[in-house]
Parts: sequence; structure tokens; C-alpha cells
Amino acid sequence: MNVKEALKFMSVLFCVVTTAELFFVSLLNMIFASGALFTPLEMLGLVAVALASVLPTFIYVIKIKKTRRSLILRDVVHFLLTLGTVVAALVTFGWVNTENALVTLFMFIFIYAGAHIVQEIRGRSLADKLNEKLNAIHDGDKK
Amino acid sequence: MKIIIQDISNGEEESVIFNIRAMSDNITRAINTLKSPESLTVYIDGQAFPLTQSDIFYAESVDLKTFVYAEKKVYRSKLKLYELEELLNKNDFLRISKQVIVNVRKIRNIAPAGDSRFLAALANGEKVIISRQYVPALKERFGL
Repeated sequence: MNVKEALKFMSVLFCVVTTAELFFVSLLNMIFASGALFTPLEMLGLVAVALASVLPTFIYVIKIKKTRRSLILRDVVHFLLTLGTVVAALVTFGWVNTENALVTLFMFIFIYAGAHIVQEIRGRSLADKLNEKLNAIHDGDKK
Repeated sequence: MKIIIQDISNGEEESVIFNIRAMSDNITRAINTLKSPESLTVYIDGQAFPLTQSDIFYAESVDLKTFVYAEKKVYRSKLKLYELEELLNKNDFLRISKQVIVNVRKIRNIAPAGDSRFLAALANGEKVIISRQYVPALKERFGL
């Protein structure tokens, strides 16, 4: 991934994360806080957490030898970096304390793993479609 | 479509004229086929060989040298990879990374390889990586 691609991906990811945050926090507010409104500080917090979650994407710009081991290692580093920046942002805005730290950690792992699983499924789905087209080409060659 | 084939004398240059209202995929494919030579000159130990395009599995650029891979043999080409790409039939050959052009008809299977890349398994058992940047071109080629 070059810098341009990374910035494009980060912009899209930032919008997706901010929208998802707004949706879930609004939903929780409606259910548990009788439709309480966001304060400017909370809005800033939402943006900061979204920014913290996309910034570590920059490690994908670093050129590495693409062996299976180095790719896994890079994903692990990305996971730890993202965990660090997101938790730092959550703590800064007072959204995480010692009581809900474990729940936050599990939620983070759940969302991170979910995003990876979606990416994996999309990759497999595309490979299946490409293989279908390849089979059609090979069938055409046989005729 | 009406097809007219005219015999010409030995001295005359062969030519093809398409009388069409608009370009179609079939016409584009026909033009690509007509434009590319049937065989290329490749080398082993400095000795030249003609190699039919349909026998090429893939071409690769390594350290500014271009290698052409057939089912079992590896040949050198004196052309740069981009020059070779110009000559190869665009119906069959596709750039899949900065270093590799593959014959789509020789791909047996495609599988995800992580990092948004794909691994193409060829009919001779070899495997080549499809870079993330070239996946959109592959999708377009396959009409996806």
C-alpha cells in the first residue's frame, strides 16, 4: 500500500467508524439515557476515537517482504498499535475506567476480529467469482 | 455479421477492414488477436527459438532481465516487460504485478493470499502472485 492508497483507505475507514460510533452511541442514549444529547466534548471524543482507530493503518505503507510470517507479524503489530491508540483515546475522554476495561477490551477484539473476518469472506467470495469466470473460459476453450 | 474473404496476389500486403457501426467486445478481441504476432523470439543460452503465444504461461522481469516461462522451459527475452506486454495478445495476457504478465488461459485456480492479494495456480503447477493494485484490472477483464 502506498501513501496515497493508505490515505484514501484511512479516509473511508474514518467515515465508517465515525458513522458506526454515532449510530451505536445514539442507540444506547435512546435506550438507556432517554434520548440525551451529545455534548461538544463527547462529539470530539467520537472523532478522536475514530481517528485513533485509523491512524495505525499507516504501518501498511512500510514495505516488507511478503512472507506469511511477516504478514501475520504486521497484523499483530497493527492490532496492538490500534488497541493502544484507541484505549488511549477512550481513557482520555473518560469512556473507559477500571470497571469496564475488560468489557472494552473484549468489544475491541470482537470488532477487530469481525472486520478481519469480513475482509477474509470478501476475498474468498471474489476468488470464487474469478474461478467461475476462469472455468467458463476453459469450457469455451474445450469446445 | 457478413464476413467477406478475398484472395489477393502474392505481392500484395494482407489487410483487414471492419465496416462497423460501433466497437464491440468481439471486434476488440479480433483486433487484439490480429495485432499480436503468433509467436515471439526467445532465447536459451543465446540461441533463438520461436515461441507460440499460446505456449507462454507467464513472463517475469527479474533484475531488469525478462524471462518467459513455458510449461517446462524458461526462456530469456531481449524485450523489456512493457515491450513484451505490447506484443502479447491482450485477450489472453494480463499484467498481474509490476514484475509479472500471465496468460489467463493457463490459470487453473485463484485463491486469496492475504493482504488483499491473490495467488494464481497455473496449469503447470507454478504459482504467481496477483498484486492488490492489479486486482481491479483482473476483475474488469473477467467482467466483475
